[in-house]
Amino acid sequence: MRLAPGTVPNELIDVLMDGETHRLETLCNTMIYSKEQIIRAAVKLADHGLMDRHSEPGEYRLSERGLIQVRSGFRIKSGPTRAHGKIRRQHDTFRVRAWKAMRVLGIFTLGEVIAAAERGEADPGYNLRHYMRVLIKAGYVIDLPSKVVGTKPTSPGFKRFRLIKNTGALAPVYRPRQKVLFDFNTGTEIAIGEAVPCL
Amino acid sequence: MRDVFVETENVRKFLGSLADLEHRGAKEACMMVVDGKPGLGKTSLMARWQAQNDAVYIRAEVGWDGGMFIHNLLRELGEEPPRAKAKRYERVIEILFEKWHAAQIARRPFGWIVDECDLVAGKREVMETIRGISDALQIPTILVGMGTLRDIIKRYPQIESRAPRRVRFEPATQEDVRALIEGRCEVAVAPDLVEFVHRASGGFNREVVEAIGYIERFGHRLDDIGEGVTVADMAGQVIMHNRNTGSAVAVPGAY
Repeated sequence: MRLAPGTVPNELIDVLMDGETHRLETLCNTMIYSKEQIIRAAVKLADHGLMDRHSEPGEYRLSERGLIQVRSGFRIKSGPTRAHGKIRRQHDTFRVRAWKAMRVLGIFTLGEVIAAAERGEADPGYNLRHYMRVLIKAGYVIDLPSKVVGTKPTSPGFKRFRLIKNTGALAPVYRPRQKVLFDFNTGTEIAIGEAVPCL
Repeated sequence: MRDVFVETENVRKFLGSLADLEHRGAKEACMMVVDGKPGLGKTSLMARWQAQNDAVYIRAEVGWDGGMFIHNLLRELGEEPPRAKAKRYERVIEILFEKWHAAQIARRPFGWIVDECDLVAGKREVMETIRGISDALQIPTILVGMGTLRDIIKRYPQIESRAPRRVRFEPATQEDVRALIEGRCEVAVAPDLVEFVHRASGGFNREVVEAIGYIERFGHRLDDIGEGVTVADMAGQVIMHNRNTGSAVAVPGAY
């Protein structure tokens, strides 16, 4: 019969929760599981940092940190032991496409980038203005002094931008919680503060 | 001006050739030459196509040799070039294959684009490197350049035979100009002005877009443009600049 994830490790925790050292032979006699199952469960506890690996062979005891954790209710569940710590790469988002278009165009207006990158998004202009502000703050893009003349009577014109830091094919991403721009190409983070749309 | 990409006859030709490439008989004939005069929309199309399809894009520079080409291509692929020359080539093949494979799974077109290829087309080493990569992977290889690219490639029969599909960007037809104006211009334009823009621009997209800017500026100032801005409305107004002389082109009084 297939056991639910964490069944044997959690039962092992219940036995070891007294804080004493238990020998493998004793555990085999007191628990209903095989020797291999108990060893695998012990490895699982060690992976979670509940048990020290440097105890004597065949002797199992929870570490001090493990004892605190299990007494406060910690139990083994299915899934990874901890967050993988890597930053998720974005694939085929509007910003990724916009970055690709910027690299080809070199000097561009927001409109030119939108025309190349949009795919029926609700408001690509708003999204791109945010992203452009972040790139300008991080020193990836500069706005040029000359503007494209606007067409409406009161239009101040359209800003022209230039990509000056073309670090590679992967689009840098803004991480709003940390308020940084992370560049996958260089592996660097640039602190930039709150992102507001550029005008 | 609206920020939209307008599909013209040249765009349709390019996409048609690309689809044709997928169903080719000889698998090694996977190269495509895209050429035409400046200002016909090649770079705009390449910017859009590569952004939409996650294609690989590299812009060739004057003075590149085979080694520099591979070095820059690896950088483009997001990889720090290894020290060994053979390893660099291997990595290019591996990464391009991975990207092509991912595109196949996602069922989207894939290719790699060498823009401004005429700058390196005279260098046998670079062209043979491109052919080598193309042969090894047999994925669409798009060589983009100006009008003379095809003529230069004729020097290399082994490359020319692998690039039977040629997309020559032609000046926009009147229908294209109408589509461009309808798609991008925020004010309505009458057919006579569309016809004038087509004739004055010589079918160059760059000049048509410039004309759209002038028409919009004029149209936004009119109280009532009726069914669209006409030649008579814009009589005497500058609408674009002549690319050969640099002089302003004005709309004639009677057309």
